[in-house]
Amino acid sequence: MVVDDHPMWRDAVARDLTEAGFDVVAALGEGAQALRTAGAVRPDVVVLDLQLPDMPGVEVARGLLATCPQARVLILSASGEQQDVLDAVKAGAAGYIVKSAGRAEFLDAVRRTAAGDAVFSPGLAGLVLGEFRRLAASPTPDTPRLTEREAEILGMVGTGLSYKQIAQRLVLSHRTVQNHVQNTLAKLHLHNRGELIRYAIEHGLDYRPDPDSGPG
Amino acid sequence: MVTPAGPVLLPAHEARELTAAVHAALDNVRRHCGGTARAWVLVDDEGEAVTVTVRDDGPGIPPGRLALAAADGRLGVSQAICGRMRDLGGSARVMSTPGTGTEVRLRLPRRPAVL
Repeated sequence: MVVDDHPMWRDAVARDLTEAGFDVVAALGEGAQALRTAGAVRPDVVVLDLQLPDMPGVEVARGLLATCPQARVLILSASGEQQDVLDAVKAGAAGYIVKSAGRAEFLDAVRRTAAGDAVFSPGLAGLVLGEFRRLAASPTPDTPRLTEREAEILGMVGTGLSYKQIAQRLVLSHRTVQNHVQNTLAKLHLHNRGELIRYAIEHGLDYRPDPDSGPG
Repeated sequence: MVTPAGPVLLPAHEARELTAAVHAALDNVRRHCGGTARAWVLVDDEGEAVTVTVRDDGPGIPPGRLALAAADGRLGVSQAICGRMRDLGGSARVMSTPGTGTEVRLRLPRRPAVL
């Protein structure tokens, strides 16, 4: 599902995705519409622009993840939306890509999102690292913490190193590096799960933590 | 630029000097790697210190070359970067590993607030 309020851009994205072999089940321009439609079409991947006319993109991300927990949300962001991107990622978005990214990079990001891998750009690493640092400034027993290894690896992703290069430098397997990176996001997601549930209750959304359970 | 979501606050003088050191590092990238190399500037605010890491994906610095440049009197890296960071009470480290370019790590401890 593609959610972006620029019709030409939205259609171009939908076309690119279809040509790349994806099944585009919906292409919409409004957040409320996206939330209504998502429940019906149950997308695997949602490409979500943060700048929508009717609702903040972050709220749409939260709503989507509350009603369709199986959906992997890839945020499309313009520059300068750092806090919004971080909030969307904390709410459970799988990653983000800037709108100025090229077609090949975009399709690769969608593929990786569909495969269940976090799209961990240097920018996202910087945001996630920053969020852990911010949490560490006023820690509680519940505060998620980075291990030294995780902080080291996030920093390396933040300077543009590939998982392969990081694996070589630290003498680890590629898979181990990937796991460390994904773990940092998982810690943030877990920490924010309470907020997600509260949000769903406050907004009367049908929160389904287990997508395989029967009709709610 | 790879930054946290919020602003990283430093006293004005330190912010200016740190920025100048980063610019010097980026000038080095341009000078040694030409226009095609990419550079990443990571800003990490650990609270007790701010670390800015500038990494390029250029060819890297052959071992010994860095020391030679300083000894030569070509203080490009030494004063503009290392000297500046020392004057701020911080540090600069230049690392170069084959295949991953050159990395300049600038670390600036924060002075505790005077109450």
